[in-house]
Amino acid sequence: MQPRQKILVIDDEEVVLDSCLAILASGDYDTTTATSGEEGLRLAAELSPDLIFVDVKMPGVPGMEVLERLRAADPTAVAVVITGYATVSLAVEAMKRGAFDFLPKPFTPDEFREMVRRGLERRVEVLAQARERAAAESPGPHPGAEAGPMAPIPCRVLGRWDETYDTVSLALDPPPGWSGFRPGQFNMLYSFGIGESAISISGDPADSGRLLHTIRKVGRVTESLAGLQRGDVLGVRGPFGTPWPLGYSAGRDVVVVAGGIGLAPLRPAIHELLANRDRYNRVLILIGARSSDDLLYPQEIQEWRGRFDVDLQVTLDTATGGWRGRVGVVTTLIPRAEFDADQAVGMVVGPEIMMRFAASELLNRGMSPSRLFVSMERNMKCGIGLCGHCQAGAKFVCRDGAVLGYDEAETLFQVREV
Amino acid sequence: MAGSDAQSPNPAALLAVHPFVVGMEEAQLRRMSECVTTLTHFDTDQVIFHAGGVARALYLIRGGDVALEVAAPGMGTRIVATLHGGDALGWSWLFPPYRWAFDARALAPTEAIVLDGEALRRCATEDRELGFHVVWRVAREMADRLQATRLQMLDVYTERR
Repeated sequence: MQPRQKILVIDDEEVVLDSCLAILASGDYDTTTATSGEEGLRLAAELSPDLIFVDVKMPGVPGMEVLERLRAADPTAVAVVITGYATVSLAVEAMKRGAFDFLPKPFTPDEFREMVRRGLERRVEVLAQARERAAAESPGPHPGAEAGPMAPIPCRVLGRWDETYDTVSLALDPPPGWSGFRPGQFNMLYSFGIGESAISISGDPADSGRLLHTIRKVGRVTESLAGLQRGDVLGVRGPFGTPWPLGYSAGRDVVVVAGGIGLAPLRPAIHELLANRDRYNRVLILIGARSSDDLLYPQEIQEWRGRFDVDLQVTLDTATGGWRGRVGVVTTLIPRAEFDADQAVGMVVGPEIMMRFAASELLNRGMSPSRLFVSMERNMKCGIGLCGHCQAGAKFVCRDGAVLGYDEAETLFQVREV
Repeated sequence: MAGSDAQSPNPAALLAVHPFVVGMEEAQLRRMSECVTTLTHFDTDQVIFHAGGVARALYLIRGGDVALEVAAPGMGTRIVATLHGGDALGWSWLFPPYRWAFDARALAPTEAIVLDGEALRRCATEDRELGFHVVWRVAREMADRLQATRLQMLDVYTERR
């Protein structure tokens, strides 16, 4: 039998608390009330509620501070702010401090019940993400565990080939003790004497015999890595980072949106989706590239497109008269894509501007931000949340990402220096 | 330039299920369907219209792929955008001087409902509510394409060093 879900309502007005109790009395919940922020914080620590309603204007500890302290104590806490002073700026402030949503007073029983339904649904999603993240953080013995997480393990290049005019793939002999990776994770690749760069793992997770990375030449380190030849040695640290939520996506429609080099970190997820095709509902793969010369993995795209159980679309930003496919940015594929926005999961990777606009189109279609995931690989240096180069607020992109829920990533998009 | 005309089904009936008219009221739809001239098919590579030609029609694409192109000496032909089933092709019929700005060519066998641009302008002038709906839908198409074009112009996939 499933345990009853716990709801905590914090409000200094007894009449509001009584109304909430009356509305929830018919549901299968354990509802607790608190008449002050202090009492609410104490009860939250004691009960670990699944959903918390917090009034903004209360004597003593104000609602916004309660919200902040709740989220600091338990990042998986799902809190809804309620207030009679509903303004847009207040709503924005509440969201910034981690509120799931905002409920203006007075509210009807139906509005309250609907918020409870959505809040509890969100709680289930958040806990599932947390479990996936925890599992990713212990993928098995770390190849560099003995030497320390900052020591790269020497690996030999088994093969190297050009993907496009500025992008190559390296197949590496996995380091001793390598226990695999989860789609979405990355390695730090070290070109000896030059430097290190975070590169997502782009191969099939089922292929344990070689470790694939696709590298775009954009700087000294990546040019040096891309210049390695068969038999050369480079250093590897990893795997690091959070995975794509493939477990959580089971039974749902999955919409994969890849722009440019963004297809590389999504390719392992696509492999896993297709290898376990019966676990998912519709699978849509929407790919954008600058031109046909920039398109990654054309052969594989052809194979995926040939499958009857995948809807794959490719569009180019620019094309000559000989191109027979779509022309336009990848976001233009989203409005007419066939998926059920009420339950679909989105996985988006590409340049940040593209991710923002793609996310915006998916949200316009009705996809919940809590089911939308992006991968960010900004400014990562150590890969383990030590150096702080990729830190923004309480987040380290390398440790808390690179795969992040859009509700978390959206704030990072606005941090220009990360 | 017209393609081969089909005898059936009834193009006015097909209009009612095209995404362009979703949300229109029955009376407006009836009025608009009076402007439908034909259901047209274009073969692969058939030119639908040329830049500079008189824009006489709104094409509501039912299926197929259409390239909007521009040709320039030394550049060859560049595809600016592609349109597909459910899209509306052409808004030059709505604004003077009623001339197409780009070439349009079918990339695959394409079927479109053709509405007479002049008749549609007249209907929209006489029936202001219909006029609002038509112009609003054209404006929405323009806004979507403007946003997409801005993103294209940003050339987001080019890595800045």
